[in-house]
Amino acid sequence: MDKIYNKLIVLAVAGLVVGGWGLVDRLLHGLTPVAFGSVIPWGLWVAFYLLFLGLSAGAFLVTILAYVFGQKQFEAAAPLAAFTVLVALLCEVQFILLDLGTMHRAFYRFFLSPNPASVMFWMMVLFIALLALYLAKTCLLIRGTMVAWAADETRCYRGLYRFLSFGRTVYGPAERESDQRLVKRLSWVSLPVGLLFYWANGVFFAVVPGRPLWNSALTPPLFVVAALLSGGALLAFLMLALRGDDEEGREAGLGLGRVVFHLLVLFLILELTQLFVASASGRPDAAFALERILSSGSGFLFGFMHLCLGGLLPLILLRGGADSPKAVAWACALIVLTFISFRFNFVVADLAVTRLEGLEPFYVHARLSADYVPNLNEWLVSLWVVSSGVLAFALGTRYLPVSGPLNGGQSHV
Amino acid sequence: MSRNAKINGPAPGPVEMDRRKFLKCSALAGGLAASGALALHQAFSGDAQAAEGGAYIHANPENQLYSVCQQCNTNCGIKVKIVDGKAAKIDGNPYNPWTLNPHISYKTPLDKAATVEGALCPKGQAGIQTQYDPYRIVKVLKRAGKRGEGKWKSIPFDQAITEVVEGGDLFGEGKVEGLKDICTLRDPEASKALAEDADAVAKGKMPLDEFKAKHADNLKHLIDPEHPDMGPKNNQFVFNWGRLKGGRSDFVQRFCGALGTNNRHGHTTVCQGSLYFSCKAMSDQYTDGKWTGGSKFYWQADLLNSEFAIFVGANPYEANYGPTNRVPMMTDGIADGSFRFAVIDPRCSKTASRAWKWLPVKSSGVGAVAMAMIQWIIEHNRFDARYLANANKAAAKADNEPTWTQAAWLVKVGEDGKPGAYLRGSDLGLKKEIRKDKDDKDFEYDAFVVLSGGNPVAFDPNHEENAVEGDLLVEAEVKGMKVKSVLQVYKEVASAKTPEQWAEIAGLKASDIADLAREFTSHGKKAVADIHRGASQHTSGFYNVMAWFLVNILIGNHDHMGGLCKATTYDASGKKPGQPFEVGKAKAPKSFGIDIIRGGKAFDKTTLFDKFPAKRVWYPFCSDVYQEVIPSIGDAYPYPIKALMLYMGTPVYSLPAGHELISILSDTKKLPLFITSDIGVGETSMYSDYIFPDLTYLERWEFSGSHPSMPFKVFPVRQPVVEPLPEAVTVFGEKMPISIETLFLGIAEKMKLPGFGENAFGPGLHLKREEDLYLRMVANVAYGEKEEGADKVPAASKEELDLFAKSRRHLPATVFDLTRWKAVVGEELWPHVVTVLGRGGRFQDFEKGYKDGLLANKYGKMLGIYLENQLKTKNSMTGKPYLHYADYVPGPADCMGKMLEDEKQGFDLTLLTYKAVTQTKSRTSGNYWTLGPLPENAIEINTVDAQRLGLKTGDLVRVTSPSNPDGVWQLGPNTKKPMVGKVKVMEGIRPGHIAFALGFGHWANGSGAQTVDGVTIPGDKRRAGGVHANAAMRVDPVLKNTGLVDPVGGSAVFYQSQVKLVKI
Amino acid sequence: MARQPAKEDPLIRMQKDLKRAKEKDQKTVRWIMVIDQAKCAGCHACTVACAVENKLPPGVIYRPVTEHEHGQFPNVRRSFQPRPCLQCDNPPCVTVCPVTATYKNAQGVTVIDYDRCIGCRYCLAACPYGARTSDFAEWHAKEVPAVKGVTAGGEWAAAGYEEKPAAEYGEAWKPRSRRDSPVGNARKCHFCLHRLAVGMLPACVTTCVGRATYFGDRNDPQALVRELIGSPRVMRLKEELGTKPAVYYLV
Ligand SMILES: Nc1nc2c(c(=O)[nH]1)N[C@H]1C(S)=C(S)[C@@H](COP(=O)(O)OP(=O)(O)OC[C@H]3O[C@@H](n4cnc5c(=O)[nH]c(N)nc54)[C@H](O)[C@@H]3O)O[C@H]1N2
Ligand SMILES: Nc1nc2c(c(=O)[nH]1)N[C@H]1C(S)=C(S)[C@@H](COP(=O)(O)OP(=O)(O)OC[C@H]3O[C@@H](n4cnc5c(=O)[nH]c(N)nc54)[C@H](O)[C@@H]3O)O[C@H]1N2
Ligand code: SF4
Ligand code: SF4
Ligand code: SF4
Ligand code: SF4
Ligand code: SF4
Ligand SMILES: [Mo]
Repeated sequence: MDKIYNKLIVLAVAGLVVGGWGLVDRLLHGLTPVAFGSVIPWGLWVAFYLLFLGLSAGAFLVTILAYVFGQKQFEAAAPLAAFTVLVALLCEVQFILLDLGTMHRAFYRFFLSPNPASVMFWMMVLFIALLALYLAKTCLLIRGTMVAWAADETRCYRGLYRFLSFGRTVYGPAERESDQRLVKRLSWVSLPVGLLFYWANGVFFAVVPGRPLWNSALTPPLFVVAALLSGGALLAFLMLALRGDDEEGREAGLGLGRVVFHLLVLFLILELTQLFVASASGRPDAAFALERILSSGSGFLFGFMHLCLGGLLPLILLRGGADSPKAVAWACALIVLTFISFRFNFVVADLAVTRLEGLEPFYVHARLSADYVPNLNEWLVSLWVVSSGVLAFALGTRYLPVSGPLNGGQSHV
Repeated sequence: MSRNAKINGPAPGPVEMDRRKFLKCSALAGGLAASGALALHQAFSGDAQAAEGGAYIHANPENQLYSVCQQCNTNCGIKVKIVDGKAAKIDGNPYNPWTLNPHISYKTPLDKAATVEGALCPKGQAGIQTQYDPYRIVKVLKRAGKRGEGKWKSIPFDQAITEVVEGGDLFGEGKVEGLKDICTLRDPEASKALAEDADAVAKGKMPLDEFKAKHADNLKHLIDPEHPDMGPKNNQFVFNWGRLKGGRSDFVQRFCGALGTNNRHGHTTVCQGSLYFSCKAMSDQYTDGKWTGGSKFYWQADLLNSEFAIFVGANPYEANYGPTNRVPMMTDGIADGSFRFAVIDPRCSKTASRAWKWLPVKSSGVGAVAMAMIQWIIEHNRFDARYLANANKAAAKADNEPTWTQAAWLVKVGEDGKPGAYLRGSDLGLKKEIRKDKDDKDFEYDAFVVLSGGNPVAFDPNHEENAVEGDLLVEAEVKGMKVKSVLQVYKEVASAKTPEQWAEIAGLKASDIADLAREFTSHGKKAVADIHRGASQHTSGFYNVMAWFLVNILIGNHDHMGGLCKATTYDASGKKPGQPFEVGKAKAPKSFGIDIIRGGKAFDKTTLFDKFPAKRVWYPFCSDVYQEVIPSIGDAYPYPIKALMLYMGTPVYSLPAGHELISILSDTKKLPLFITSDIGVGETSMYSDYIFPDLTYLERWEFSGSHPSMPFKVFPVRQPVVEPLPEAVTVFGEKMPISIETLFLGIAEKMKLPGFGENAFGPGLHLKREEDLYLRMVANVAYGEKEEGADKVPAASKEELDLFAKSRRHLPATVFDLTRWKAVVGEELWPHVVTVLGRGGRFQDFEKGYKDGLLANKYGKMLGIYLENQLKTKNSMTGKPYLHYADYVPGPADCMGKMLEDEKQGFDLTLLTYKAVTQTKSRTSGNYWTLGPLPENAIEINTVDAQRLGLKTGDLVRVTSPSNPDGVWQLGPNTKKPMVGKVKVMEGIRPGHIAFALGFGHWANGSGAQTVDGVTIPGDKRRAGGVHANAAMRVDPVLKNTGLVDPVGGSAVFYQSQVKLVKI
Repeated sequence: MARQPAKEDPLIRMQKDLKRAKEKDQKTVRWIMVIDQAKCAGCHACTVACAVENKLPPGVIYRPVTEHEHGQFPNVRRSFQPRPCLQCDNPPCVTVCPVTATYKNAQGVTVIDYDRCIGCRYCLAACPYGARTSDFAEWHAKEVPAVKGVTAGGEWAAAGYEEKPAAEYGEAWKPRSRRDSPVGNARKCHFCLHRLAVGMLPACVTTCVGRATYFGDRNDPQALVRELIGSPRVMRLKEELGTKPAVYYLV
């Protein structure tokens, strides 16, 4: 296991170094280095934001299943899940901040001049709420171990553990009981908060008028399902990958796999319905967006990556190999890895729809083009953010007892 | 709550509130409830406007200067707003009639006008990007490699002047003659005598030997003593210009005059040559016994009052003097339905696309449409018989008609049945009168004749009292002579084909032409045919233009509101009695001799004549034949040239088949010295030996004159409004930025040329700086043309005098010095000059432009429609007389008149070109703002042709032609630029025709790399977009280094080349 | 109909309208624009005038003019449609802005507070007319190299116009640089509030070559624009979205 962590850390650090070049460019030159513009105002970074948004939802799903619906088999996965939510949120916020034209203002503008009519404002509120909830949940879930570790003279970083124990020095069943109760309560609170958050992300797009695919009542539920699906798949994969060896972890992973299967079916139904309705509407802008999705480059993303690798194949694997940790892990990995294509298409195709016929050719500039291909800078910055997530995850799973019995990864201690 | 209400909640803020304060407060208030915020902000709504308008200082008259745009040749009035000494925004000058209809009264004080502005086109708006073009040069460049290699070194101005004047081994390639060696004949007396006697030799009035003996001392000054009519060696210095306007043109004439060269040629024929030279011929009057005095000008429509207009090869929505000026005159009538228009153009221009009727004529068919119109109008008796019957001035006057024509005049019909010379009094047996001409010399006057009620009546065309009217359609015999009236001649010429046949030639429906003729003749005099390049730049341009003016003349619309108009300007020359400064006069040697373009001379009337055809075309009716200058240098015909100075022109880029010039310009044997004045390294100046930087239109003086689309009497003044970029140098002891004037002054100082420096205009009146000439010209205009200064402009008020200095506070002393300026014109005139400069010129008030249905500024003379000079002059190529009346002349033909057969060789598409509203030739490619709407042009092609050729929008094609089968611009021995463009498939172009917009496909002007002082400045891709297909235009098979020409009207031909598209 | 001599340029008439509007209670003023497509020459003067007035960098544009070809040879027409911000009465762009950086002012103009905007570009996505662009800090000519003292180079362009801030919203912005607003912000047509404030018509209006663009106060019965919106040719873009634009087209 150690090797994996080390590899992960090396990889993450390498990613940070390489991606850092893009980050510096971005920070020094504002948004000048990016390829998106005013016609496609959101690009790769927003797609990544949405991806991480989804990934966080998996963890959300697990904790909800465990503590709200009392599915005990998921309790084992809960600390990992809660921690994953934190990491994902960390990546999300980076992507969004970096995407802003005047980033520094985001830190105070939301508080000084909020617009309650804006979905984006509520997304921010929900985001903060979720962050707080999961921070608390994570701490509570690992507090027992923290207390133990803080007391363990053989460990390094005891200061950290002591801090994370939040004042407790003894951790008996009573404490455990009370923390569990708290976790349960927080989970109850996080159910609506989380659902609202994912819902709001859908509403964010759905309220934009005149966008053929976004502007649909199906978008919010699609977003919730998409989030749960991609997140669930991630968690399932992680459980099976990190804890496939122990019974508890495997059961949790396989169980999640079954949920993922149903979510995938539901997701595909919703997505294809949305596309079908748009296409059946006969609206030229819808036709444009669809054509855009199905056209050469994006067509590959949509048809091969998203539908085949991310849809059909996982369906088969999940159905046929429902009891095989390998099959389920593969299926889930596929879903996670290809999900960016769904996010990307969803964001870009509708943006590319001409607002007014003839607008594009009559004032020509790269920033006013509907042909958007992410450039090196955007990939580098994405690499940086993803690497930061990976690093946080690796360090967290190594130094914190989030992934269950193997906790802390300090097996050699 | 509605969405509206909600969004108004959190942060409303009306215009006039101090938003900053509000923001701060609402920031403090943080999550303050919406209503609370609202109340809060309302508390601040007091100190309103200041904030919203606060930082906007353009509206302050102290930050405004009035001048004239020259982003294109429309020359609209501009108001330049200045911030920190730099031009920040340019808008329309409301005093100037180009930008408002009606323009504001001249009396309006400047502060009242400060917030009023007129319209400008996109190029005019983008002007500050010309001013601050990063590719401008600010120091003299001398070539550091071969011509055209793109290697330069910067040299001091004084060194450049010395080298140009003195010559020497300037480039390490051997000795080059300087101007002092070329312009050797400097003695005014000697040159005058030589000129007179050389003319006598040419006319056969003096034997050559006698000439040689008489002028033995001075023969060394002649190019060739065997042909004294070629003139002095001074003629081997050529001054050639592209865009040149008043003031600067006076400088040019003074300079060339002082150098004694007759070779001063403009660019007219590349522009709308045959339009000018047809009208010149048509405006010849019968004075002192000959047809003479025609002016180089033309007429356009008074669109503000027309009810119907036909645009023939004219595109006022995009070009054509121009969008700013003409479009509002049209849309004003379109809005209320009182005006409509038709467009005759193979291409659906923006104008055509909004027209009542678009007639997509075949390129070579414009003349045929005119003939069909003439036929229909005469057949249907829809001409203005009352007007046409007037045979002379008196008759016209009696009808309150400012003009009259020769429609009723009788001409003799020859044996062959062809109409010949006019029937004259002497033919009827009347005695010729002896009259005095303007120089008080005797001449024989022979009357003209009309048939009036069947009886021949002799008359004087210019007589003020003896009104004579004639019968219009006459075919008769007088004294045994067959005669016809001119209108009868036209009736027959126009009936040579049936309406259907004419329509077939034009590629139109006969019924459409009939509709057009009916509409045209349904508005009295408020209908007009407005003609431009699409009609004139053809091998038959002269006759196309004449035929279309005849269409106008049939309804007699000249000088009528809504009819044809001519340009009128205030006289700045100082010639009018009482005017303070006569600036035209200057001591100088007499310039004489045949010029390099052979303009204004008939081949067979020179000593060079041996046999027809001549080696190259002679142009007896033209001047400024742009396409002849460099090719004639290449052919050394009629004589070799030693130095060429090119000002603000780019013949390589602008001429059809301009690529042919490159090898001539690159050849130091054919052209030993080549000097240009440019603001950057342009497509032609890149081949020169020296480039002198010039001032842009925002930095310099110029008097842009007027256009025939403008009915008011005007004198727009271009004046320095911003700090100049070029280096400041010292000439005649004065510091000034380098410009063309500085170049002239520098050479004049060095060569001690007459008419420059101390006392150039008379005692105490020097010419040491440009404004020594220009301010005096402005003073003349301010003074007016009436004696005693009766129409002097009002003197500037105290406020305006103060404003004058304040608004120029940013100009450096090298440009503006109040005391000095005042001294040039004197205390007394100064306040009047300030009035004119303050308003960017002098402009007649709107109401004064019209009177009793007529234009106030009239042509007011006879209109020639039957041209005896043409009849009596022999074409240098065919040896035959020129056709002397309007007719359809088929084309395209070579300069011998032989039809070209390229279409039969498989060159299946006719290449057209036009101006897009966002570009001017090579001058605006660095206007990045205008590149947004159109970053590159395209090869525009009809869907049918595209399908046939398997092309779709975006495909790349190469344009090839019989004279450029590879479809390339050969830019140097080893550099070529393929003529490749993107296809744009459309409905709006006649099948069989393709078009490209001018202004793209650059390789210099900031689009190609140049190495200066060892540093390479790369070209800018944005400036190189699109394709320039002039090199595909047909080279004349006889001339071999020149595009097709109109041998009569001088036009370079743009629209009659057959090409192929090769898909890449 | 017989042609009458021109009496008053619409620009002068509208400037009088403007003066009247400025003298009344500002809360009762509703600025509207009317664009007569029959008069529009497709010249793009408005596009460029606006860009210069507001010193727009590459890629930022407030008022493009679109062009359409209709019909088949030889029955062809082209129409031109300028598109400023339509200053919707019910603007989706305002609703979505998370930080109220964009809002409607009392005269109905949708404005952007450059000091507030965080550059999220949600409004760009939300505007159904593509009327908003974002400022990505690009330069036209500033970066062109020079041979000092011999060629001008980007320095003059920078000093002449590129770094010179426009007085948008009547404010004295800092010289343009990569750091400061409006760089990074959403930008769009603001009906030239800074010009209205000093009694001048919007730049696109005064430079309208076809006199196709009209401007004035909808609530003023004497205003020229009031006459025009009574025309049977009047329409608004994408009326079905319920955005209630304040820009009317005559087609
Ligand atoms: N394909 C095609 N070709 C055409 C036409 C067309 O419609 N289509 N139109 C033709 C017409 S109408 C004309 S009038 C000709 C014009 O052709 P030209 O008279 O040759 O002139 P311009 O293209 O105006 O070029 C002027 C040159 O001077 C330089 N210049 C620019 N500003 C200044 C300045 O302020 N001072 C000085 N000293 N130099 C300056 C620049 O290098 C520029 O290239 O082009 C013709 N060529
Ligand atoms: N935007 C812009 N405006 C300009 C200028 C510029 O460079 N750019 N230059 C100024 C100058 S110097 C000039 S001379 C004027 C020129 O003004 P115009 O002569 O009005 O303009 P062009 O575009 O040269 O040509 C006029 C029209 O002739 C059409 N045409 C082409 N071939 C034929 C043909 O065979 N028959 C007929 N009937 N029509 C044909 C073209 O399609 C085009 O629409 O514009 C002035 N205004
Ligand atoms: S038409 Fe445009 S470019 Fe030409 S002079 Fe007028 S404003 Fe300048
Ligand atoms: S046009 Fe677009 S930017 Fe303008 S107000 Fe309407 S929605 Fe907002
Ligand atoms: S880009 Fe600026 S104005 Fe637009 S929604 Fe975001 S914060 Fe508001
Ligand atoms: S009103 Fe002002 S900001 Fe709006 S398009 Fe017109 S010029 Fe641009
Ligand atoms: S300036 Fe006027 S005529 Fe020209 S494109 Fe704009 S709206 Fe149309
Ligand atoms: Mo021209």
